[in-house]
Amino acid sequence: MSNVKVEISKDPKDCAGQPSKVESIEISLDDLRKLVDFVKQLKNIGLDLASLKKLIEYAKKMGWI
Amino acid sequence: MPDIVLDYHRLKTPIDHPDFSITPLKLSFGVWQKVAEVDAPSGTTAVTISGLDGDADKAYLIYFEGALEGTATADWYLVLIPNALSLTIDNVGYYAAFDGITTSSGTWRVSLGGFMMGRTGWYVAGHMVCLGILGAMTGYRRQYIGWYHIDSPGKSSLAHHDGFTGGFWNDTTTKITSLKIATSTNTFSGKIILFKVSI
Repeated sequence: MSNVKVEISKDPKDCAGQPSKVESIEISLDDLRKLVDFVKQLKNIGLDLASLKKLIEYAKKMGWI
Repeated sequence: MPDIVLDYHRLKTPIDHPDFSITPLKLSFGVWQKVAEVDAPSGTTAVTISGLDGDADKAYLIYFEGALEGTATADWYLVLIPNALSLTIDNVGYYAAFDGITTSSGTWRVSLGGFMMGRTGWYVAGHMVCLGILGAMTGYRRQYIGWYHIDSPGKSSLAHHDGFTGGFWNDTTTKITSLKIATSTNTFSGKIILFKVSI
């Protein structure tokens, strides 16, 4: 115990670094089919990816998919 | 009436050792023994505790209470890194969350530069408590299990989440001589207490 040393750093280079993988969400096959059907209905609307993501989140929240 | 009556209240145990003093070493036999207690100030990016011996210590118990500080466009993590190495460790777990309006739960998986001790949610800072155990002996993949809970006042005064986390370091030979606790990005502050398994 007497040999233990503690160092505190405020240098940003000592951070552990950003995650190298995006977190995953598990989805059942049935929900995936519903999601694909839902996206198919939107394919002609011309939404950008961010808007589509928000729409999917809203649909999930409402229990549509 | 029996011939002999033993009055246990009058029995006295003889002290057969001249050293009557109670020392931390005597009290710590076979229990978790505190190795270090660190109060990290605001703005800390990393705390490194060195002078360890993973084989002798067998396992470490790590407690943290404090703040994950800053702002970001993505969530950030408190990470435990053996020997301050440059690692890629796969972490998986469960979470439960309440954003102030609705609850959610699920699984997650994230690769980090170390074992995930805890994390933010909704990209906002929070006050966190976490506790984990790291198996430290060589001869095994070193594995970590832990739990965390954090509030997220930047999301909502009612928002908070918690989770279970675990991961493994795919190395069976490198002896652990130090542990670094760092944020993936941004900074932290608070108390870190490290325990080891005593003899």
